[in-house]
Amino acid sequence: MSLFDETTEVFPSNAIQLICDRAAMLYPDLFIIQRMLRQADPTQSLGVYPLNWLPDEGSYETGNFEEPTIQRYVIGVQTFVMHADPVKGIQIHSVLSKVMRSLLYNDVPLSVGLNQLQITMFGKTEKIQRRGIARTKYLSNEVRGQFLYLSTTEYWLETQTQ
Amino acid sequence: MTEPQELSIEERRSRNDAVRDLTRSLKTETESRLQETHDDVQVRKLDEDHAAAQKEFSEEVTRALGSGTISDARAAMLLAAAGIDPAPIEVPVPLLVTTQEDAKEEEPPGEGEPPPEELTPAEQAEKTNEAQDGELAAAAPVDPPKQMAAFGATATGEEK
Repeated sequence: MSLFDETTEVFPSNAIQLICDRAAMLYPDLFIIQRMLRQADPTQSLGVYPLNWLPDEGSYETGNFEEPTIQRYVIGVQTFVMHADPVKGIQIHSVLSKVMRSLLYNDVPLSVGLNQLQITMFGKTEKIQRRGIARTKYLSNEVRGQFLYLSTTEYWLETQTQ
Repeated sequence: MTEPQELSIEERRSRNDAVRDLTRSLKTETESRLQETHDDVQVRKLDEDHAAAQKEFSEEVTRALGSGTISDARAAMLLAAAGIDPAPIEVPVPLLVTTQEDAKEEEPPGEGEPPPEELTPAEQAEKTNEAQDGELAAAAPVDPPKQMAAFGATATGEEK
């Protein structure tokens, strides 16, 4: 089995998988996919994908550690709604976006799962120690009489490597 | 023996009403108690069914975990979603990071003091390990709020 295999667990894909699994358990009506959403995707879609990796510049340590102890992964969580009525479209999209943020903040099973994530690679173990939401950006557009609403929530996971 | 006193019509009516009220009250109370018993039985049965279902689900998740079909994290999430207490979550232990303030506190030796001994890298590493072990022992038991503060986390939780 190759190291570069879809079964090898690393951050942030393991967290993305958990978020998608939990959302699918709670909201089976949503179209859920692990990528950025496209205009052709169905209304009420959820897309989760990796966005950024940032080292904590203050956490480089002397000794054998050559990578920062504290690292931050940013995951994009997109919600998409398409509707012929702009008022209803905004309302539905606002609810969907809010529900996803609440899921990331408050859902206990998801928290338990994320806290359980741990990967060991090259003799070092990485675990999540903090998480939160940086911001949500809203976008809207009109294409052929259909109003499109998209929000991108930046969900960060701070990990510690020991 | 005294002869029973003849009751007036009003007195008889009043007594009859009192008896009727008492009967009605007893009947209501009996029905209420029966209902409570029935509810208790129903609740107990539901609890038993729920516990059995939880046990079955837990065994299924454990089997999937054992066969490698699902990850530890997903198993924990599934169990938590089913209301089953998952395995205790390990609290990460903070690393001993030397800050700039700590470095300032270590002042250079004075003029009258002898210079520090020259140590080989292996001796230096051993000495550092001993010092860290001493600090860890002195820090125990860990105070959870202080431990959280060491991570820069908020007092209310780990999410910001």
